[in-house]
Amino acid sequence: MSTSDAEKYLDDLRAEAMNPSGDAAVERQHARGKLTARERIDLLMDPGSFVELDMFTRHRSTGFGLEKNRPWGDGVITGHGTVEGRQVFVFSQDFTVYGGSLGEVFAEKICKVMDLAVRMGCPIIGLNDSGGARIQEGVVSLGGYADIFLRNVQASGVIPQISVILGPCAGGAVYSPAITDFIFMVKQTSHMFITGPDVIKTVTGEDVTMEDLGGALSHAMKSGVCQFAAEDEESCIDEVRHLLSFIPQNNLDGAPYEAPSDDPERRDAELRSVVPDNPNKPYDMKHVIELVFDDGEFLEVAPLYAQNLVIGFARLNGHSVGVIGNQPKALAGVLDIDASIKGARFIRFCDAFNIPIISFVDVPGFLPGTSQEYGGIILHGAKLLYAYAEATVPKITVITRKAYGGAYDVMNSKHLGADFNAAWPSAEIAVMGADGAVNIIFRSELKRVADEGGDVDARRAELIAEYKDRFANPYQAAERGYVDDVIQPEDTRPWLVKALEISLTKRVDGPKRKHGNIPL
Amino acid sequence: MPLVDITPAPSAEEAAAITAAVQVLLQASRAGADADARPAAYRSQWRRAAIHEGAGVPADTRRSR
Repeated sequence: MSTSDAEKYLDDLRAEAMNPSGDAAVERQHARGKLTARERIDLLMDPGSFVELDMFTRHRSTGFGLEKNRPWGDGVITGHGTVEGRQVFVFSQDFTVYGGSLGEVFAEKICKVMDLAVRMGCPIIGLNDSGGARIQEGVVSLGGYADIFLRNVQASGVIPQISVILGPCAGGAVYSPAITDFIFMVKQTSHMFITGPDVIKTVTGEDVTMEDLGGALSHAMKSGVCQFAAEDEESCIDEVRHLLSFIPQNNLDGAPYEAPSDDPERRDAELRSVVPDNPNKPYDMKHVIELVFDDGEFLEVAPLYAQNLVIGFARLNGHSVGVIGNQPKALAGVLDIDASIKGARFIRFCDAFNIPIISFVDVPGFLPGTSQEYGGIILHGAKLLYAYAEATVPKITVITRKAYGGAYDVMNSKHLGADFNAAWPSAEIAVMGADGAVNIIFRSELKRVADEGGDVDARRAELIAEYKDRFANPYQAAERGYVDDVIQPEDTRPWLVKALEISLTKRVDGPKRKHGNIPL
Repeated sequence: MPLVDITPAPSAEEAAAITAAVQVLLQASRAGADADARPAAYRSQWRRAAIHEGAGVPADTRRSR
């Protein structure tokens, strides 16, 4: 073969590999409302930055007719490129090739880019659209999954791992995304489940649709498996790019810094009127967050799950931070099982990747009830406590209103190692609310008043007022240094900026150990 | 871009002046590009040590990074 023939052969081969299933398969993919694996990469990466690896790999399997169909690339596109100039690795499963099913070579390609991502210290993004294991390859494909799981675990906390589910992801295949840091899904076209509707019908008799069982909204609202549910693939991938702007390349890099345009001394007068006079009236903690952080930008994570705890990323004077806030608008901001798990996992991500944590506290306590107790609120609440206590990144707290009981301790209190704590004048830092406390402390007295035919309600009101004067404020905690200062609400941004910037060089070296034993 | 002949040709003194001016311009833009726009804390050895300790990186490998 002459040089020119060889060059032409390469060009032809590459053209074939670029579209291994043909135009009809691409059209079918589009008809399903889905983009192709390459179109997705084009959306994710900066234009012209993608460098493909292993385009000419093919499976080596025989039997069941596999040897007659050996498409280039084996159904997954892998490589590296940039997102807003930052290097990332990616794999994109191609549903048009064997339904995106995972066989030996397919898995080898994913493992290769995962290994490269860890070696180079770059995030890895998986674009998933797969029918599952390539059954014809038998146990080899199962081994391929496990090879990926092992790498997911080894890379956890070392490089950010992001899973984007853009089609089916079922059975054992779900465990790779589950181990990664964030899962994105698209409404109507993404589905994740261990067993599908047909198996469920057979085993339990339940009737459930694919969308209700494993659709984006089910996992975003009910299970908490996915953190982002998008309307379409374009906005989904755009959100992935947005998320990347807040997180570092790896665990040895600091969180990203963007030169700020917002004034660090900005004082928003609206913060003064956010907390209602009535302590039982809700307000929106997200509004507080938007008023405090740079340009009101807040990327909320898992906005539809455990809405009583708000988590997400923002910037403070240009520094990327993780934000956690009790949400009085949902369940009065109480902590329950779901909120505890949600918060704990987010804190551990931030801590693993050197992202400072800023907490806004308005928590009346833990949710009472048998469903919570039987569900293990003791263990799950402890996860949140453990995650806060274990985190060594800068930890800063602002108590806006209630900080009651054990939940006060859990929500990044000074006692758990918070670096700087402030309270608004409206803060109530106490063992419990005034009504409950008076009923316990003054039970005998109230009984006596009742027995003597006195006005119990009037006496109770007096005692509640007395209790509030004494305990329902931030000054007992301030006397002891449990909060470093009591600040006006509009001073929150300047105070936080200063607290964060002095904390950027925080260094904590705890006792050496293999790992702790978080109550999982 | 096609080469363009500029006439009249600069004198030796003029050419030297232009070259010097271009060099100053290039040096200034290079210095600007190299400058780390991040706050000083991001370049702190203390901060770097904290990150490495947090990741359990042995002391002898910290220096080389």
